[in-house]
Amino acid sequence: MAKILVCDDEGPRAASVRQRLKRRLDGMFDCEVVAVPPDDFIEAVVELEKRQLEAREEAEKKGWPTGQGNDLTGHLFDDVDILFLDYDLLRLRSSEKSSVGADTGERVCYLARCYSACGTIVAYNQFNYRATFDLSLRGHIRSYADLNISMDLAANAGLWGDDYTGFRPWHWPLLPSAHEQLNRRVASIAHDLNAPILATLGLDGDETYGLFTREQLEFLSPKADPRHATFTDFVRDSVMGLRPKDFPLGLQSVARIAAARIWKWLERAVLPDQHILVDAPHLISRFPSLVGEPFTEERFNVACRLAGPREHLGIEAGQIQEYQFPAPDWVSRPAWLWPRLAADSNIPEVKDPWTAHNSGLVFCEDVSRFRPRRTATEFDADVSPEFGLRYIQKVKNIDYVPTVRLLV
Amino acid sequence: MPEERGVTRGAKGKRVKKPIPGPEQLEHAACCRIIMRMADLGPGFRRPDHLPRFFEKVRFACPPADGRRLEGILRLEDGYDTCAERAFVYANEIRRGTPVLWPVLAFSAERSSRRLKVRAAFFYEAINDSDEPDSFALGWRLEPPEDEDGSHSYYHAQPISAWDTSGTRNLPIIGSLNESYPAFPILAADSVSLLAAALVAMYGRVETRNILSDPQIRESLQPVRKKVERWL
Repeated sequence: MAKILVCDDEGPRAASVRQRLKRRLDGMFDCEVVAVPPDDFIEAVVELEKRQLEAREEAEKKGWPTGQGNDLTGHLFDDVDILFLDYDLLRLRSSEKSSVGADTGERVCYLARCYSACGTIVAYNQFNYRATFDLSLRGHIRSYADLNISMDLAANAGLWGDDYTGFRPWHWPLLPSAHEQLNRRVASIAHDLNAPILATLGLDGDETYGLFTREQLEFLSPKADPRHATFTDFVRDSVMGLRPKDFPLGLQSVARIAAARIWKWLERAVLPDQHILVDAPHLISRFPSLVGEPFTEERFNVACRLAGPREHLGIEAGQIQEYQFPAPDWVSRPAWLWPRLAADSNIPEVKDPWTAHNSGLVFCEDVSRFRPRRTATEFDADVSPEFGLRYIQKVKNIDYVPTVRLLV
Repeated sequence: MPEERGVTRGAKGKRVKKPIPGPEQLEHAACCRIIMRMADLGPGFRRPDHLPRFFEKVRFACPPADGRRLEGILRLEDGYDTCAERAFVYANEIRRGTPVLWPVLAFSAERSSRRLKVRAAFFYEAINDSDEPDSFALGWRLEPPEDEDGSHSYYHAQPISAWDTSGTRNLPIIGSLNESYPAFPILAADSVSLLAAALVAMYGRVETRNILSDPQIRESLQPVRKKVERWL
């Protein structure tokens, strides 16, 4: 049974979020949902701060850890699979032991990610209080939360499965399986933290490495050559890793931090561009022949599923199997290596892009569904210009920002 | 054992690359700078709302290379082929005349830009058989002499209907094309002057002079100025 924790400085609000989650997940996802009382929340933050301090003191004596460190158990967050965290914690009473008070959920996200064994962290109300769609598609990569949403979306069906209607931004991962993926990533790198990140992910080849922008690569390590930056380099030196002065509790902490934050780098800095990795809907937008005629919404929307294996996406998978991204646990959806795919002249649209059939359908990033082009609205995302033209359906009562990105 | 171009045999017959003579290095640097400058000036990375709709298809079929990637390709030790790398250079559009032409270029060369070849597709928008706006192209290649004494033993320009000689990467050309003739002689004698000739063909003499006099490439061109002097 998965454990979901809701932490908020307002007890009634935490209880409300808990209720909504329970109603949504009842019969759908086997889990226990707990709203943490504010006093217990303060105590949990104080304990994380103690771990932070302990790590610094240990490092002063012995430098960067070489051992695994103590098992991360015993803290309220250590066995949590999904942590919902309010951003504005102004009402948390200051404790003598902690500076928690006018604190922000972002600092708590940082402490939870770096000093506990918690699973997926979902921060709410940090950037928006109302349901909002980010037209830049960039999100908040520097936030230590794995996902940032408004509180009213916590129980949105699209976060929990493929059976939903209406608003459901494509970049959202499916929460029920996200913590299991994190644990698999941790296990895959724990034994070799000095391995190069890009080589481990299968992204260091000439045809892919050359496509990374400087902005994407600088996150990996500001000091090491990005192509050879290791998981340890990332945790120690990247702006997405530990903050200056902070040290990990042990090597198992390094693995957890790297597994979570590099996932976020791939999800928010690399995948949105769709020019190094391409996911199923964007792939069939370019190569409708992989679905085949007739080009209908129903057939194309099968490719938008996140639950279930890639063989069930309705794509001619055998033809492109060799281009599958070799590290599938590092992204939240099936993906392929675009540079290699785009050079395969067995694909009709590659062989002759000028006479390829247009499906008349476009993928709407705000509802994660294909719609007829005439009913969609275009926007200019802040991604590689090659694939910068994207589409939305435009759902009522959702804010689309920044509006300047909507094309006239 | 016959000697390969640019390679000599060291101890125990091991292949050792000959060092590139200084003048060739300077010419290579000048060629790279001109190509990079064309990419900088062009629309490859303009946002979608600053480009015509038909360009979306062009950008998908012939993806533009950004500066970092292009530089990496041009610096490859054994020569380069930007078409094979799917790294196209988008030059500035040609607005004089009708229709507006959007040049997309590919460059290939042996070591240190020797025997540089330029392939250019000039994309434009027109109405297709279904009465819808669509993208079409005129294709040209500019090349050094094929040999010393044959039919194309001179710097020349010929029409093309595909990026590659095997014809697997077609261009949206209207009708069929003789790709051997005509083969117009062009005013070039080396790789740098071939690039200058390409610029003159696209933009005319005045604009070419402006481009080649640009402070961003002037320093690279100075050592090889004589090769492009006729256009300055």
